[in-house]
Amino acid sequence: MLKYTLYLICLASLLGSCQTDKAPLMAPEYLYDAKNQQMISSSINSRNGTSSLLYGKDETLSSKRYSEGANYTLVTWKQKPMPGWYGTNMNSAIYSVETMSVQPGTNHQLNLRYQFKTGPSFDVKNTIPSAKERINFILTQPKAVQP
Amino acid sequence: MNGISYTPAYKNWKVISVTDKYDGGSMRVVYGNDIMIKAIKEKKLPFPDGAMMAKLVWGKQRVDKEGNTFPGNFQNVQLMIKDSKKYSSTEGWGFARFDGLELKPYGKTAAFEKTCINCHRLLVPQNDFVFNIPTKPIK
Repeated sequence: MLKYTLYLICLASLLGSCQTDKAPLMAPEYLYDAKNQQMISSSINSRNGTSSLLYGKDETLSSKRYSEGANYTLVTWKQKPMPGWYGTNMNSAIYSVETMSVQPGTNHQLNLRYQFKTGPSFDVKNTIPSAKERINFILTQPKAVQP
Repeated sequence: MNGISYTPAYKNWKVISVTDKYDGGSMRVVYGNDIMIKAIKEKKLPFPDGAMMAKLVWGKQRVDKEGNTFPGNFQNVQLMIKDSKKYSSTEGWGFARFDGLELKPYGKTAAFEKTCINCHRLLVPQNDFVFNIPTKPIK
């Protein structure tokens, strides 16, 4: 019985020593404030080790993405392993913020205005993608179901 | 279920975490309400009463040739609500889960909450029992 109790105490200590007792260092700078835009979809890129969220305004969510006045924000973060849960990656610092707006042009055409801004985790070795590629990525992204 | 009802109010909250549960094949987005966001910005633990989070869980679509994957089927939404008196037996957090597009409440008895808090208690007690908050290593 004593031997069994000792084994239990050792196991409990081992489990305890695996935990970090220190309070975490919160990183509110990882948050992105999309103001009055709502989340349309999410994506993961395993090749780049990034996660992204596509935001837009309410009235553009169900209609064509390229309706006049539509505004989109695509926020990308570098991933990191989730502390405390093996088998999951979560967002760390912001990698880039891309914006796109649909504005009236000449002859009843629409102009797409696109901008790429680097974030704290964007490295000088990273490549800034082509605007055409990213505009297409934004316009064709499937919507995430949010009941 | 546990007196916690589903609320679509999360759509107007702010996202606090985007996660890729590759060991399990799901992807998640976690929203926090204003009280939660304020506490994160002020770096204050424990989180105050009234803090709420909603985690949406989807399966994953196939990876495309550029390495992108997008949300597939909607699986469930999970809620955490802080009320240190009401949920004193589960570290101040109330838990709820709603499955599928019908948002069917999951868990028939109070044992459901014990299952939730046991993992949170074991693995992230220093985070006030929350996995999905933005943190960086202490240097």
